[in-house]
Amino acid sequence: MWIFATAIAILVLVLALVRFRRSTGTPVEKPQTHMEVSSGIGIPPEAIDASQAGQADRQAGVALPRIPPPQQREDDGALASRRLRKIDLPKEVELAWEAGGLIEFQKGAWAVAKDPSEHEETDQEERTPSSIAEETYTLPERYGIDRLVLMARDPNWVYAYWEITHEKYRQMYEKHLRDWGLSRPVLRIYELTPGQGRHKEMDIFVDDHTDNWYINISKPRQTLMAELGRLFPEGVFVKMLTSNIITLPADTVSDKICLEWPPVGWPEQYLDFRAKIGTSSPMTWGKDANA
Amino acid sequence: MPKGFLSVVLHAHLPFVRHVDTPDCLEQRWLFQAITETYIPLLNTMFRLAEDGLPGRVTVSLSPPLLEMLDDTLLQKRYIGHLENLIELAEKETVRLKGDITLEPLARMYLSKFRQAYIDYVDRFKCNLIQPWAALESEGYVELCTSAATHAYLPLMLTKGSIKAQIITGLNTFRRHFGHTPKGFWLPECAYTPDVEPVLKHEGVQYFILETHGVLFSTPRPRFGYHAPVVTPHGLLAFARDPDCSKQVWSADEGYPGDPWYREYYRDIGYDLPLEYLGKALPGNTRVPLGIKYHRVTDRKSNYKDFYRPDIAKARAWEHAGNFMFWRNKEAEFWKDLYGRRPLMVAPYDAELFGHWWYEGPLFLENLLRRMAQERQHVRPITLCQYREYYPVNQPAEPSVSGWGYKGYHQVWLERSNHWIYRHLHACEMLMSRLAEKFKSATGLMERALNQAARELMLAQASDWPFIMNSGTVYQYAVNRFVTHVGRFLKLARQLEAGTVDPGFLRHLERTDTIFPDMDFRDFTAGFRDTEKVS
Repeated sequence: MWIFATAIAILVLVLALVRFRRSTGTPVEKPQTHMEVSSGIGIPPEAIDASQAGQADRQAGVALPRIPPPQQREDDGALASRRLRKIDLPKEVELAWEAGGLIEFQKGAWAVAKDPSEHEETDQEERTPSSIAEETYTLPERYGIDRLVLMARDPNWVYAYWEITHEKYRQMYEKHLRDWGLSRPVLRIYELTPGQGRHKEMDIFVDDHTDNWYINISKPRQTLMAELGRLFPEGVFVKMLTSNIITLPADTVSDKICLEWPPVGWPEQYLDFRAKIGTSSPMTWGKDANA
Repeated sequence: MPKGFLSVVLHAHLPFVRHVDTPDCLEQRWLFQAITETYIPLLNTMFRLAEDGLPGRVTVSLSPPLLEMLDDTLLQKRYIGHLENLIELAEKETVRLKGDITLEPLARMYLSKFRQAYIDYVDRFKCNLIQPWAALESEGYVELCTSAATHAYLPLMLTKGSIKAQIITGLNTFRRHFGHTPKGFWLPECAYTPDVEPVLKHEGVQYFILETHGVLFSTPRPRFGYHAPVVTPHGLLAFARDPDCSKQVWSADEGYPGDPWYREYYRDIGYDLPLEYLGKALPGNTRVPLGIKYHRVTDRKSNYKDFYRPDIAKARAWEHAGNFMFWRNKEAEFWKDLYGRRPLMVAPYDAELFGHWWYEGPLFLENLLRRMAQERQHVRPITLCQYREYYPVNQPAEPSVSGWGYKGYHQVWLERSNHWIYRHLHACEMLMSRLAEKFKSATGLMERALNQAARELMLAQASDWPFIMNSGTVYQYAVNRFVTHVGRFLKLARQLEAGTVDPGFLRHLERTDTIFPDMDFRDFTAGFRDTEKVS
């Protein structure tokens, strides 16, 4: 009987901790949109610039507003009935959309990983007949693999996602039962230097309910790996997952010079060259002219 | 002697949008519009130049999904139907606008263009847009290359087996259509990772193209910056995109396509005219662009649009080609003096920019190539392979990981709207490799199921889906396509692992996703298979 009591007590403690961390914990790194900048929660809808609203969201891939198409009027004349454009929307619709976006954002603020299957269900009625397959597929939430995968996005950012199987979790939990409730999940990043082995670069406290994270490292050309584990009160780190090894891309010209090919007469502009224009790909059909 | 070289590279790609059961599918129109507005006009341009004996020396990359769609009889038939509807609509337009001094000539222009496209497609090219490219290549007017199987974003893949399968399947598709291995390989979105090199080397590819800083940031420092290729550790040539060539054409603010006299893309009668009038030219009652547009850019910042004037637009295309040449001459002179070696300017563009987005694009290209053929120009057109004939020795260096998307790395394909796809893709990659190893010697139904599973995985891997999710244009379509292909793959994988493949389901998939008839799932295993290669 007392085992049950202890288990329940631990559960309550864990839940309380999670709550606590939710309210105080480290913010989730995400690409910035204006909503996050405007700190979301307390902002009155009037304060939002309607002409700018939604542009960032659309770029970030947030779904378009569901607004019924305007009724076709006979007397409009041929050329007067224009395509419905974002810029032509009435202000109320803009604001309603914006408010919807805010709510959606708050709801999902801590659950970083948006489950695509959720999206599937909510938008089912919108599905065009062209996309209906032989059955409606939903993607599994878990694949039953213990994995931590790092992806180098650019010289500054790394994206990490992970999955811990129930067996692995229970195994670790049983092994460290005593202090489990006091431990915190931690993503530990290591730098790898040839000849010097690895050394710890940083610890990121993540949430128990999160399975992915954007990490700002800003170390171009650096080779990295990571471990996901739990940090116990005495400072003991218990490893649960080990990642793949990645190398961040370069963000400037190399310091190495080949004597056979010395860069003489190299113009200054090379040294601070940055990728300036973002293009491209033809798949921008129907993109708004004003976007 | 010229002072520099210019190499124009056009990359044509569309995702595989063949929907057997929905003939009126919106997304299929991407292909139809691109055929009318880009692929046929570009072919005509090249043939006109060839007739005048002008060596265009343009490198054209045709992506495997595009090749498969252009070769597909069902889509060919549907395209003809689409064009017939368009011609009918254009005829109606000439009647509606009769007597209108500005608009009637425009309506007549579209009618004659569509009729000409019909004659070209049906009578001249016999519904086959692949053969004409092969003919142009054999005459030495263009150089052809291809891309990864479904245009997957290679640096974001987890397993080397998947990278290998994407590249090999893409090259095999090209070989099946053209009978030889291409000399160059278009890395999807110019996205480079060192892992692609062993595969390209093994398959006999000689060069690829990178975003500017892919070469400029290579190690050690490249002596000639981005004006000469570097030799990669595997002995391939890595060419860099010239930033000025890109900016003058691509840039939204200062690029040529934004000229006030050019045709406005976003004003289309598909949006402007009443639904009942447009009738069957539209799919159902959904408004889509139809390719009949009467307005010009006028002012990019304003919604007021004037009517289009083809004569002035034509003159502008000639002037812009001259302006482009002027800057290339200057660039060549400057760098030639600085380096003592003739610089190479590589100008890669999406082919669909020319004609579809930028209506006057094919004309600009023709003018450019005609102007370049004139005596007094300092710049000579070459294909990338010909560069080696002038400069056989190049600096060895390791290129930097890069891509040509926004900000120069992988941000477009890995951000909030689309990062969720990778946990599925990577799990499927691992599953596919495992299945391929386990059933290496499968035959019959099992082999077919494995090949179909490989097709489904590759269709899910297309870089188009995360790109669309990022841009938000047809978000739901991209999500549906991704989920469907992963779902189909997982269902097949479950059946394979259980050893009970459902033949009916398999046949359904084989009929639906017909891409890559010569797919071999064994490409997903580690190491290379020793196959007979056409060279």
